[in-house]
Amino acid sequence: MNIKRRSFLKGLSSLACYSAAATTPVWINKSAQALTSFGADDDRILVILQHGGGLDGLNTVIPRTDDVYYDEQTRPTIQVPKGTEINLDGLNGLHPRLTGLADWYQKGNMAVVQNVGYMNPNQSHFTSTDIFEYAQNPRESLEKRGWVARYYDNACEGMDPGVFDIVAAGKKTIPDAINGSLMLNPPTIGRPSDYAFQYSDDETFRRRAMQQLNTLENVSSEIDFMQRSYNTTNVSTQDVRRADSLSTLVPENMYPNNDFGRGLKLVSKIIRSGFNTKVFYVTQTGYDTHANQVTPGSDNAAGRHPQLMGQFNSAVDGFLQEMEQSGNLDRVVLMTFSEFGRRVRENSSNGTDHGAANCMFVFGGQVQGGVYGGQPDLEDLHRGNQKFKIDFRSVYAQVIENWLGSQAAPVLGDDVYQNIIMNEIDQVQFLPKVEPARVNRWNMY
Amino acid sequence: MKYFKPYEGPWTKSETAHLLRRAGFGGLPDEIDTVEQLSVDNAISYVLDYPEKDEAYEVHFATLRRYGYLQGVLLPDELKDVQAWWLYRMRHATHPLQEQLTLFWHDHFVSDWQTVYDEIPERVNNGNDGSVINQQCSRGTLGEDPERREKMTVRLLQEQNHLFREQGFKGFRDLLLNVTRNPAMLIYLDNHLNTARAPQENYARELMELFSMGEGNYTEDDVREIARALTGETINKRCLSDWPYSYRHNRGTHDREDKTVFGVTFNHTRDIGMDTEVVIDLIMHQISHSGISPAHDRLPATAVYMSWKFINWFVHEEIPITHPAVEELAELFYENQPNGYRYDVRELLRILFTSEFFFAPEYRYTMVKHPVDFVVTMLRTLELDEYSYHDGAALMMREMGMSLFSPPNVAGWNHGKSWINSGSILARFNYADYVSSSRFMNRRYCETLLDNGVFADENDHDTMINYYTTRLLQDNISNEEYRILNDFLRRILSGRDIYYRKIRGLVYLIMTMPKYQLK
Repeated sequence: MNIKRRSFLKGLSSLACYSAAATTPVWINKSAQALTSFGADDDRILVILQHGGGLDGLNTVIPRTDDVYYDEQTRPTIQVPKGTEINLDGLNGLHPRLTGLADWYQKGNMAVVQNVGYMNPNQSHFTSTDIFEYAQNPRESLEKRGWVARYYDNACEGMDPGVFDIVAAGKKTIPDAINGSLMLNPPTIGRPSDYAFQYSDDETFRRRAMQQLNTLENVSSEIDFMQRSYNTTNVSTQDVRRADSLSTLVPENMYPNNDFGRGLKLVSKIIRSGFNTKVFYVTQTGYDTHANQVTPGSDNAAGRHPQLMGQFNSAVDGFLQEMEQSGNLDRVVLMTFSEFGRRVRENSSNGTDHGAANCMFVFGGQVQGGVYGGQPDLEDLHRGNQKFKIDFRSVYAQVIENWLGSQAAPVLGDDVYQNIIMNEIDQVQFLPKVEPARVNRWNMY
Repeated sequence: MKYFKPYEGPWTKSETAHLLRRAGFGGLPDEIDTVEQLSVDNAISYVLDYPEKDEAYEVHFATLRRYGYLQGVLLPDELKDVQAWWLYRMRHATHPLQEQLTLFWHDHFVSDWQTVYDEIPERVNNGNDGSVINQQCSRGTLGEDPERREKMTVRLLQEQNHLFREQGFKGFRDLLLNVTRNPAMLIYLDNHLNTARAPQENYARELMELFSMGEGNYTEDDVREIARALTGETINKRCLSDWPYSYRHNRGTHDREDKTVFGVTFNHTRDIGMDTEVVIDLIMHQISHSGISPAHDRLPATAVYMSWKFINWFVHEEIPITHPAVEELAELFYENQPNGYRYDVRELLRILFTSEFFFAPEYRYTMVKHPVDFVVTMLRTLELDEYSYHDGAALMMREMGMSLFSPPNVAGWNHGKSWINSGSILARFNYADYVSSSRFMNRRYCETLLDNGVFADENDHDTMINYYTTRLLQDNISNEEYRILNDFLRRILSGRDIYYRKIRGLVYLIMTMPKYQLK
């Protein structure tokens, strides 16, 4: 197997912590050695940003020439007042708080995909989030592997996984999308400063005993799982300490002081440290705005959604600036998703109830900016909700094929690929096509 | 009956330890022995037949050390306090199953701190001209005072917590009705805003999806119609007393038209709150034929879904709803009426704990301890008290992923292997380190063990290993595990405090062992 020199050196630095022990096959099997062996030199990275709760896409990307949006029956209290939106392409405007992101749009580094959803929209947070995280109906498949886990297992089959290949930042639980891989257990990092083992005494002796206890053989599958989890954690704490020692390149307060801000800030540091992580996952929660979405009379300047928009703008803008300043912008794609959009008409609590079709954002140095997926049709609704035109899996396929350089059909399903994705993928060309030669080289492994 | 026929296998410490682990937080050696002397039925009765309230315990509870060296009455008035309050109860409960079951209901009927705090409505009063205005009541208004709002939130959540504790082992039908009318829940899922003019579906949906039938067993029309039937079920918002947020049915906002749920049309507007009761009863009896499992063709979806949840909590987290044991238990849950009503929770648990299925070897020590198990097992089996429930257990449990009174979303916590990720491992292991520190396992604790002859001296390794593994794990360890622990003890030869370092280190290593993460 061909391990690129750069990856090999990285692997060495983490290997140093394990020296003698690393030569034991048993240890390697249980500890998922920190060798990352993705082939390409430019080491492309995907950052997934989940908007948790159901992002109100309609107030985020506003159809500024659509009379239905401004009609007094639609959103009398919570609409983004005409003229306050930031014009993107004439037809669409951004929420006034998204000033930084609007700049990235002007530079051509931001794509919006509209009307994204799936057939038979589900309005339960729980189920619809599952649908986005597994990209298959969980009930149709007992296999509990998220779509990113399936991509990883497919692309990296036969290679040694790296402990840091997939990372969840600002999270306390493993997101389903990256969970269930047969090859690795991704670290989930909350506060970096807390991400270390503490020993009030006898550290050497305790660590030694723990290493022995966690490499015992002939154990039940549950114990084996615990052992691997401990070993992964052990290696990743050292990696995080190294990454977190970097300072931010933008003012630190661009990253909000919550799990989302801390997570994205850490993602930036890990990338800038030179780690070879392939996929990151962060979440911004709070979008389930049934009530008090917008404070009445505030012209959409106050309320839960505007506040979240402010944080979304600031954090992602800060992140992209740091990528640009550190020369990493062309390696990075940041993609957002949410479990559903929200109902077109507001409810009686200055909010909106669960909807269906929504928009997704894609940022990155190589992104072909613009608005994709057409305009929302606010008159042809289904039970008051927007209908979808683009299946979300087409967006995933675009990223898997033209960014990660891997095959989408094995990950998302052959029939889905043939019957749905093939028909739509041309409408979501927000990334330059990857030449077949490159795809072959990466799949050589 | 295959799975739930009464257990007739060996009855040894292994079985009683398993029972006390799952139906509690682990048993002390004496208790495991005592229960072993009982018959299977009496053993289950020992854990299960507890009273609604334990008066002796209430009095004992009145003092709680907040910072470890301060004694005084605890007035819970913020989230950390009420978490500490509950953890303390769990540590000291005479009947730990009651707390384990309260936690089950809290995870099932979710109401979370932040949402309730945000959504407590302003108190309103009627002006002289009949208009509804927001004003200062003579007895105080909630207003923008965050401290008062915090205290109100604590009170609402504690009230709900007591509902689960005191009614959680009785009939599920009445529990579901009382939860529907519980003020914290009315606020959390917005039913207090659900009116005929502007219906709000939030509670109606979760009532079926998460609280009773499970998704896929009803239609969107059912959600909308149930929302209409539940209009008017709200909280008292007037300035009538110092505790305004009690349940109230508001006839003025109740939808007076016919409602059709599961194809049944009804309208009991004239009978206050009766529409709600009809909805609950329809939910109890509705057979959905949804195809989710064969059981769904024969039995009410609620019976299947709830039985599945109990099995996931007490037997194994990964048993799917399609497992035939779920169907068997669901039939018992629905049909058996030993006390005159269906859906008898205590009797369901009696059947479950007494069964072959519960004692099956393939399920022993295979569940993952949730953070409460992780912390409270140690406290109870080592007979320790948390140095500071607020800044110790409650805080670290948040890092482990379980913030009491604050589940991640309305579906509650994810169990099983989901509890284990690098962040939560660090939280667990660092809590174990905190436990193994001189502040927690302090000199007095350590010396008492020597003084009482529990350990002969600082080299009594055999006894030390046996003492701590028996209590924390309530099971034997392998020869290799024994050798590793013994090795550790033998290495501590130089420096000060050798004896203390040995037993503290031992507790750390056992709490961080793979096996301790399981139950």
